[in-house]
Amino acid sequence: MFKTDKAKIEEKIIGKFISLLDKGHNAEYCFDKFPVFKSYRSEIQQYLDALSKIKDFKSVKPSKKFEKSALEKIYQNTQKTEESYFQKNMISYGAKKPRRPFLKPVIAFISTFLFLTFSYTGTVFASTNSIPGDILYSVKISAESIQTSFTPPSQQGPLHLRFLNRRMAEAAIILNENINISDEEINKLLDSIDLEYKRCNEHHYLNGQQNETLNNEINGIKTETQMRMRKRDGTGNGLGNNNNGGQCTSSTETTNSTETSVSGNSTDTTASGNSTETTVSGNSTETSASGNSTKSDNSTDGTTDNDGKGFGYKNGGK
Amino acid sequence: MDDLELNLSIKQFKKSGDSIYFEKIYHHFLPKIYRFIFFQVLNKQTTEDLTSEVFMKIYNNIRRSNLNSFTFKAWAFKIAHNTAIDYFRKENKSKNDVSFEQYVEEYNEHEIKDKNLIKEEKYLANELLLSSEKLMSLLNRLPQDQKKIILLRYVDELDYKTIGSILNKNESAVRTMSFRALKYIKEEINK
Repeated sequence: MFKTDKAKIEEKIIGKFISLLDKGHNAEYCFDKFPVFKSYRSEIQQYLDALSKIKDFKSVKPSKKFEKSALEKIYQNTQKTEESYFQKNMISYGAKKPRRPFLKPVIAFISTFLFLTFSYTGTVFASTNSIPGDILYSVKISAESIQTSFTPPSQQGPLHLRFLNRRMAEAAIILNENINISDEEINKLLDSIDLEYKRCNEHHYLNGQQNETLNNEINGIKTETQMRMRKRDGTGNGLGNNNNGGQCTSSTETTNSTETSVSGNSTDTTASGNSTETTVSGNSTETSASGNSTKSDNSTDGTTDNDGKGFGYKNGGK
Repeated sequence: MDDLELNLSIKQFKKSGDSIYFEKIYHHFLPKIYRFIFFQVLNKQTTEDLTSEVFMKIYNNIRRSNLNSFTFKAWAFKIAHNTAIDYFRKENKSKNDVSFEQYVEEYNEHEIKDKNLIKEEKYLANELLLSSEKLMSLLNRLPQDQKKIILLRYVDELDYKTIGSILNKNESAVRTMSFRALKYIKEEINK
C-alpha cells in the first residue's frame, strides 16, 4: 500500500527534527526555532519518549567484579604471550618487532627500479656533450634511438633534423679542434649524417631551400673530413700547408651554428685521387690541390685558405 | 573521557606501554562494549567471555595500529562486532537462546552476593526490569543491524559515519535504518 502524501510529509518533518536533535539541539529550541514542528508536536513527543526509553539501556553495565577480573585476565594473558614471544625469538622485551616479511622484496624491487632509472637518466644527461670516440657517445646514440622509437611519426621530422644538426656539430668539433679519432668512427659519423638527412627527407620535413642548404653543408663537412683523413695518411700535402696546426677560425661558429656557417652555397669541391681542387666561387677565391702541389689563386681577398686558417668552405659565400 | 583525553591515553600507551593509560581506555569503553555484545548474545556469561576476548585483542593490537580518538571508537566496536559474529558462527546460533528476564534474574542474584555493589546499581537493574521489559522484546524483534544501530546511536551516542564503518554500511543507509527502527519502536510502544 502506498503511503499518503500526508504520511510522507510527516515522516520527513520528524526525520528533520531527529536530525536536529542528533546535531545536539535541544527539543524545545527546535520547537521555538521552527514553527512547523509545533503542528506535529504530539507525534514528535512520542518519538522523544521512545528515545528516552532507549537511553535506559545505558543502565546495563558489567559488574565491578567482572571489570576487575577481566583486566587481570588481560594482563596475565599478555604476559604469557610476551614471554613466549621472547622465548621464540630470543629478543629482549621492548625490542623492535621485525617488519612484515612480504615488504622486503617490494622495497628491494622499488629501490632497484629507482636506482636504475636515476642512474640511466644521469648517464644520458652526462653524455649530452659527448663526441665520437668518447665512452659515453654510445649512450647518447642509444638514448636518441629510444627517443625516436617513442616519438609519433608526425613528430619524427623535426627530431631527425635535430639529430642531424647534432651529428654535424660533432663533425665540426672534430674538424676544428683537430681531434684524433679513428677512420672507422669518422665513417660511422658520416654515415649517420647521411642517415639522418635521409630520414628528414623521408618525413618530408624540409622544403626545397632548406634541403639544398643542408645538402651543401653536409657535402662541405664530408669533403673536409676526407681531406683531413687524406692528410693524415700523408697523401694530402697540399692542404697541410693551408691548415697549419689544424686551426680553424670558424670552429666556434661551426660548432654552435652549423647551418649558418656552411650556408654560403658557394662551395664547390672536387676531390679525386691525389689531387684535390677546392673552388670557392662566391668571391672567386679558388684553391686547388693536386698531387703534391698546391695552387692558390688569391685573385680577390684570398681570405680563407691562404692565410692558413680554415678549410676553405666556410667563408666562400660571403 | 573526552576525545582529547582518549587521544592522549592512546598515544601515551603506545609510547610507554604503561598500563595506567590502557586502564583509562578500558574503563571508558568496557560498559559500551559489554552492552553492545550483551544485546546481541543476551547471555551474561557469554557476554563476559566475549568482552574479555575483545579487550585482549585491543590490548594486543593497539600499539601496532595507527589510531586516534575517532578511529579508535570504530576500531574497538568493529572488533566487538566481529567477535560476536565469530561466536555465532562457531556456536551456530542465529537466535538468542536466553531470555532477557533470565539475564536480569542472574544479574540480581549476582548483585546480592556482591557486597561491594552500590545501591544505585541495584536500583538501575530493577528499573531496567520494570520499565524496559517491553522495550527489550521490541528491540529483539528488530533486525540485527537495526538493533545495533539503535544501540550505537542512541545509547552509545556514536555518529552515523562511525556506525557505518563498524557495520560496513554507508552513512545514509545507517541514517535511514535508524529512523525506521525508531519509528517501529515508537509505534509499538504507543499501541
